[in-house]
Amino acid sequence: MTTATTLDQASAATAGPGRRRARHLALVAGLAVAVLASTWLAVSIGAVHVALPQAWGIVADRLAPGLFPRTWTPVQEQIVWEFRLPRALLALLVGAGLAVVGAVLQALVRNPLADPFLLGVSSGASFGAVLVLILGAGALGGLSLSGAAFAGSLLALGLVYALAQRAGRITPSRLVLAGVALAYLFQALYSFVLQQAQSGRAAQQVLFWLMGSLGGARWHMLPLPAAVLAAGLAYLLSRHRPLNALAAGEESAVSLGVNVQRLRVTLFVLTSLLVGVLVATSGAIAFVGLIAPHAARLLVGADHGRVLPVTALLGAAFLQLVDVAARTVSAPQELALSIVTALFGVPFFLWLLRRRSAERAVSVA
Amino acid sequence: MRRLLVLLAALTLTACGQAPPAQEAGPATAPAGFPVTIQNCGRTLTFDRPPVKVVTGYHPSLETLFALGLSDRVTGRTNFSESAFLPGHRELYARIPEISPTIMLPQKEVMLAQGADFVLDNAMASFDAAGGYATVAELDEDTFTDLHNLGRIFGVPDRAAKLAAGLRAGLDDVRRRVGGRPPVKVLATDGGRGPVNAYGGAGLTHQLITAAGGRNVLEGVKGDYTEVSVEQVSAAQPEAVLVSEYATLRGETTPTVRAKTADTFAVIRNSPAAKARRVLALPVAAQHPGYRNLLAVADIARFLHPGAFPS
Repeated sequence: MTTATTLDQASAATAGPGRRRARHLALVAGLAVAVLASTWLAVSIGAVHVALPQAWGIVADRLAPGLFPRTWTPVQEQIVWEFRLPRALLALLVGAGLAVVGAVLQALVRNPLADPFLLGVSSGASFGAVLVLILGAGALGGLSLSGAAFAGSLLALGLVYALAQRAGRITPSRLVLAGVALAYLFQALYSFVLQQAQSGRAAQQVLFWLMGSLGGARWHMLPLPAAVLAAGLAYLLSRHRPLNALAAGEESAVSLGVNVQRLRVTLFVLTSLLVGVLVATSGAIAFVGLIAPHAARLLVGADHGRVLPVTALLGAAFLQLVDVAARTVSAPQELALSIVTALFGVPFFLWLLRRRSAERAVSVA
Repeated sequence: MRRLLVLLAALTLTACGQAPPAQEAGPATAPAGFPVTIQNCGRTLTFDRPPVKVVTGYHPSLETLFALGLSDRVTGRTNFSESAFLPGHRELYARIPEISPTIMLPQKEVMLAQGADFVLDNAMASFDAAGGYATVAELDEDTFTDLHNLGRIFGVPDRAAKLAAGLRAGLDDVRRRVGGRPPVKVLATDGGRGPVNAYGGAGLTHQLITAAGGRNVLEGVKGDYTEVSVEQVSAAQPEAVLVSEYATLRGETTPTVRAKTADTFAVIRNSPAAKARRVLALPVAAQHPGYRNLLAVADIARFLHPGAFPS
């Protein structure tokens, strides 16, 4: 039944041009403005007060040197240019990336509860990170924290893939079960390492990292997630029709001429790599990948050609605001992002669920 | 509750259901000066005779017993390999059986098997729980109260008084030397590229800095050990940096100070401390309750005010 309704929605979405398209463009434009506004806010405020003319003068001076009189101190310049701006941009990338991955996974495993951490990738990444934090960089051949996190996510990805396939076929249920089982395994492993740790301080650092933070963002951390996200999003948008078919069910996808097995493998590898890159830069941030896609489907229906851009924008703006809250609510102390995503995200999500249309949106992913 | 050391007569409590034999076979009359009754962590403890089978938890508690010349009473200890020993302590430590390979006391069965009549451990919680701003006077007084109590419990009040007098003289000396000098702005950190793990205004490390003639640049931050925004740390402009030194895994002596120092100096690039590369590695054991933190005050004072200590 679910399958039939979604197919109807999907075809209705593609078949209804004109007013619907205009509304969609207006929505995307509105969300883009929200993303810009949240980023403006993120650069303007922080633990240390930098007046607006100075804050944006610093940015402008970097983009077009000499246009503005330098009325700021080197420390203010470091704060805005080296800490705040890269952090704000990384928040957009990570928020958009996690949200898109959530949308794709919900379609891939046909489960509305799917989120970026379903496939054990984040637990693998966390295991790598814990090894470096507790054993030191020497333990993993000098890998950095993010390098180890990425290696851990690749390891998890390989294991889940090996477990989930049989005779070259991947089925959603095996994918979910393999992912969940490996997540438990990696959690057990990093908990063991954590328990062996001598120091409560090291344990506190690990726990903070596991809850996600953008506090360490620097410029050099941006290119990789940006490139992977751009490439991934471009590919997904080009394949949005097969994605719709896959979300509707294997039979209908096959009948529409989609190579289901190849598409599943591609989507699995793509999303896992994206999660690995994102978790390596920011730790495991919960909830963004769960709520952004559902909110997007409430707004634009089930067609992935529309869901994906809207999801990305929603995720970016949401995480930007969450990060602003995480670093200002109890400044100069910082909160872990998963605390804030849940505190703000859950009430919003419950409100969404209580709306009439929610039933429809959550029913397919 | 701001006692520095938790004194547990834990395994002699009737609630455990099995009193150690030493208790039953004791002499009919109490030794001179006993029984001793003290207040610790909100409890009243009475000792009929000095403990003879002591088990210690985190190393600073053992160090305090060493300083009182009581190493022969200790029959079990935890592992300590996160940083260097105090002078002369390595040999004493090596003679005592290790009952736990970590800094934590072992599980209940192992503890019971020790048949200990006295367990001594640290309680950082007594510092964190209040979340308030403890003062330096409390730091001194708590340690001296603990020394006094330990001296009475073990029947060596003279040694305790002598040790306390020596420590008091050391603190007075530091106070006299750095007293008139302007406080040095200090960042106490445990590394981190963002947020920075650092010590705020509610804890032992903050008190050490103040006692040593420094001013904690994060004194306005609530909490002892917490995650602080890189913005705040960069803007704090410290003149000197204390980096916590410890190994993160049992039996390892992984050098972590260098990496933590590099990360910190990158964040505070524009500060006087980074330009002068002025940093002191502070063993984390000195940042826990015990008599070592009174010694650390002198080390930090020397680092902050070298001019006050002409050698």
